[in-house]
Amino acid sequence: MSHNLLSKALVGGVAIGAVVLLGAAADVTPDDSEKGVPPTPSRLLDVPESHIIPGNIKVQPKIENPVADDSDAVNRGMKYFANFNCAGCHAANGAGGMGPALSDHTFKFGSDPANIYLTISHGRPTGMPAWGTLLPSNVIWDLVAYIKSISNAPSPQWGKTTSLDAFKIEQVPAEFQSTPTPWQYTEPFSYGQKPTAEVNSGMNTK
Amino acid sequence: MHIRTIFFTEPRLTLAAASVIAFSVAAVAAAPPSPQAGKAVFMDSGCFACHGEFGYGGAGPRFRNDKLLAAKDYVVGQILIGRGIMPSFAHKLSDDQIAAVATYVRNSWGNDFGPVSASDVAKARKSFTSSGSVNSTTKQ
Amino acid sequence: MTSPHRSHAVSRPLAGLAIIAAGLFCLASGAEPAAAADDSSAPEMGHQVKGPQNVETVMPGAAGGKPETKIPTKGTDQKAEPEDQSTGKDQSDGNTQPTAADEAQTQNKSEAHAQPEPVYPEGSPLNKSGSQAQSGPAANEAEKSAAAPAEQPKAVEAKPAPTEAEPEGTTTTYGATPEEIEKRMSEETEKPATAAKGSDIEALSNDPAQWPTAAKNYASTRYSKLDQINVNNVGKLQAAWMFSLGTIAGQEAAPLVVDNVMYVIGPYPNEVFALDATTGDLKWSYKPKPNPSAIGVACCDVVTRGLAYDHGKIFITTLDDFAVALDAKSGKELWHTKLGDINLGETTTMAPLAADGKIFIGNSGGEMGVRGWMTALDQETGEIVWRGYSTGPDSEVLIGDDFKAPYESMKGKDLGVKTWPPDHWKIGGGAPWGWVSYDPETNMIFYGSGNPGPWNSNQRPGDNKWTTTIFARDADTGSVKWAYQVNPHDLWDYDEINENLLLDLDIDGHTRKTLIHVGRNGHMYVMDRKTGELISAEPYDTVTSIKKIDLKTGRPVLNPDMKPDLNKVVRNVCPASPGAKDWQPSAYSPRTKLMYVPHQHLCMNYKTTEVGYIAGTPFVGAVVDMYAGPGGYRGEYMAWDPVQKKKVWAIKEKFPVWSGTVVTAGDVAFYGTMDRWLKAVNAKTGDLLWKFRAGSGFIGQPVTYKGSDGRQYVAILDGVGGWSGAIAHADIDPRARNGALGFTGAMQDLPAYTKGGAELLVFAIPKEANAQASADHNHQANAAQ
Repeated sequence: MSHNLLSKALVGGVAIGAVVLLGAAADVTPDDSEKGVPPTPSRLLDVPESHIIPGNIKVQPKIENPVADDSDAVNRGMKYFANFNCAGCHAANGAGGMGPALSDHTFKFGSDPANIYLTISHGRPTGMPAWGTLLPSNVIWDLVAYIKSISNAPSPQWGKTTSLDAFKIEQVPAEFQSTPTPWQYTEPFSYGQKPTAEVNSGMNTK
Repeated sequence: MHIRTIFFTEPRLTLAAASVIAFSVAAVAAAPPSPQAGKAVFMDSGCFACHGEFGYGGAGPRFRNDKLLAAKDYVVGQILIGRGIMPSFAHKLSDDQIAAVATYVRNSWGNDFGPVSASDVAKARKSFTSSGSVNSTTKQ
Repeated sequence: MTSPHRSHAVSRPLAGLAIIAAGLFCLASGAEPAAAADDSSAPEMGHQVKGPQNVETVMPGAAGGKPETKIPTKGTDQKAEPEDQSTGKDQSDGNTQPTAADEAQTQNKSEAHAQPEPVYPEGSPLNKSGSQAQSGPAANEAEKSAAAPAEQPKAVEAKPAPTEAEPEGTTTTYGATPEEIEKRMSEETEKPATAAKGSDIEALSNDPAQWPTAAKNYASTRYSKLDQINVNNVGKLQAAWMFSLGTIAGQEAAPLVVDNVMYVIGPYPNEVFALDATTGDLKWSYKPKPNPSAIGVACCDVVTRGLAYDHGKIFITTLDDFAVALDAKSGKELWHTKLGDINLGETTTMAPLAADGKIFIGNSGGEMGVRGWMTALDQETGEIVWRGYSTGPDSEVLIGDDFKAPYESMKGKDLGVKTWPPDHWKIGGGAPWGWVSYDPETNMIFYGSGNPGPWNSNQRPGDNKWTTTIFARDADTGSVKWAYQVNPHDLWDYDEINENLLLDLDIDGHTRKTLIHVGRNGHMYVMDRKTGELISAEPYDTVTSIKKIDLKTGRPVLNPDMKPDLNKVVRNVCPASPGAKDWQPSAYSPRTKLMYVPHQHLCMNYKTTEVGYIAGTPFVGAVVDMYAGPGGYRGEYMAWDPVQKKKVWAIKEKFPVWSGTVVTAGDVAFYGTMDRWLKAVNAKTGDLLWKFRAGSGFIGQPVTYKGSDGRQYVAILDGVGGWSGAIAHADIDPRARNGALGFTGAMQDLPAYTKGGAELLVFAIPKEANAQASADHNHQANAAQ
């Protein structure tokens, strides 16, 4: 980009930002379907974290991830997941460890995109750092997209049965491949023995 | 001091950094920026989040033993303009601050490329635009 | 990590604008104080502060002159609370009589150990006399070592206990800062007066009825002279009583027993309990206030490995780096000292050691880019006496003129800096989070340091001293007498914090004063504890990562095929990262002359990746996948002859044997399995004599003692967790193998056997069965200690 265009883009960006902000302030029935534009902070702060709404009144429709349709977002998010050391606590593919697993639709602090956004941005009292102090919102939304992708575990039932018989499959381990959709690659459960498949899908980029 | 420092830097460092920055801003010094000033900008501006507090990189490239940093104009230009996920710091940092952090990065972790001065930064700003939109505004 | 150095920024115009707009207000605006006008032109996250009143948010970019306040990471309810969390005693407001207490202290020293009459408030149904506190009990109150249930101010306390108004998490140090200590040592000024030198531990250790320190004694043999329970009657062992700690997470602690009181500590929030060791009655409990955010920087479950006792005090650490002293009789808090910072990723999880009037504590955090240290505090005051780092310049490691390197590659100045890339020693790890032994004869402590950081060794060329190093330090000054680095430039997270047994052994016709270190790297180190030189170092389990230990150079000879080059998958690395044995401590019987070693049998795949350092976040850089070693079993309990250097017998187990062990003069050894079995075996033969199915798997440490009824008891905590067992109680997915730093791969099926727990179990032989069994057993007790 030429520098002139850049400076225009800078001005334009500020202008758009201002418009979105002003627009939201006047908005009573919010419509977050403007793709590519992240929700404003005030909208995010309105996201309830409890499911008990006094009076049982209807609340605003939930906020969608502005990059939900962006196929690159998941790949960017995968990079950030490693770059910002998310993998150090949550493990490759969200397997869990110091931090809880992100692999199985279970999110202690809410599974809606806005909940996950706020968990990353604000942190949580039991040890999740407050990344919003550092990361811009677009990075966080990319991470939210990635987390949605890796949490897509096959769930044949509503609850979770645990038994030696119930364990059927495991993911192809991350040392053999790096993919934003690990649940697409599974092999039989190994019961603590060596993994059965040694797959080099060609997606191993790191 | 600054918000971020509450989380990620020791109070002692921040206090020292604050006074150093205040001083270096006040005096249009010909002396090279101090490492403390540079490190303070590096931490407070969030550079460490992508480049790593010890230069190991992460979302952004690593700076350890990085010959590319020898090109002074390149380093200053990157900070002013940004690239990809790296934002532009033209409006966020003053010439002195950019000089400080560029000096810090170019002389840490196995790098030894000499200082960057505030006038270097001012020159770079000028060269990037005639309309002055990357000129330093008031500090935020 | 692929560097975007030369990549092109790909952005469609709209997204690009959004990104640029985002960039304008994110990733911080500058370092200046927020002097400018409120710049709300950009929709920044969280800046337009709405929200509940009591939530103080801190969000990026001081673009506005918004007040900067802290996120209440520790909860906003830190109101003034009484410091004293003791239960079971009535708190009398009583009269405050400092001066009376002052005089009375000198008068009443002889009454120091008398139990004063409890004083209850007027009007209380327990107040029989109807009178308030008298000067007598108040005077006794001033005597620190006496139990004084009535709450009186401790006028003569060297350091006032912190007041309730003090918020948690502020950087308040009640001891000297590291700078002050350095200054003090360099100027050779008077050290703060410590309590009476020496400790109670030696005498108590020699009393078979007691278990005063986690390892039973300073030599760390975990051997008991009690033989009331023996091979003939242990089959009759039954549960005597139980106590639930109330917090489910890994229970690693060793209970202590002193004078028929059992002391035990639970995982975060580190609640402490004192119980009658015979009846299980609860005497008091104490709950500190550790910061819940510490949970997020604890690598391997929120565990603690135990507490310490000395001079009538109990010493604990909290997960968030506080050392606390309690009065052993009442549970009252005497002092607490902040030792580290969770924002740097530091925690404290080890059982402290009490010796020489001091308490020794090391930090944890090798996975968080922490710089390891060992700190000595004064038992009386809680002040830091010295701190020796595991990396950095000699002056901070405390390597001085009396340091004698046992091998050539350990000679030189400032190796703690020179064997690292520039500045990397500051985040280099070497956290000594395991066991400390003590030799009263030489007044020296022995302990090992943890792994270097990050796990990706490609980022830290050099020997990385002094990580994975066994230190021998002078207990008074911390000065290093010798140091032996077990794994120079460690490739595999082979921490060397395991226990060091101080044994005088007959080797080749001579009595050698040895130090036996059960190496994480799969080798049994027998060393000369005076010099740090190796006598032998034989593998005790499958090892593929190391070819052998060269006794001449003192260095491991690595297997070059296994070198974990960046992004390369290395397979079949044995032992896996937790080693052939992790922190779970072994025992030694002077009767059988065998070591009893609970351990695991695991191998792994390992792949290093580049990682950046961000304080407070993990600094690892490795994808790990563990699995059972050859033979398919994952754990073993073995008897090892340290002189003959061979395994004598072994019991294979399905899961790693992650509990500690105790061996007795009755020739019985106890250990627990992760699938909920507590077992007693014949120490000579390994035959199984007794077992018990508990509520949860075992990763705790068994102890044995004598109750006030003359019976021998065995106590252990159940509650699986820790690095190996967290999958059973925490939210970890068994179908994704690389979780838990790779341990998931080896423990995927554990949830089918056990959940977490929190039970203290105490066993004894029923009274009738006892009388007969004692007559049957012939023995000769060895006065080993």
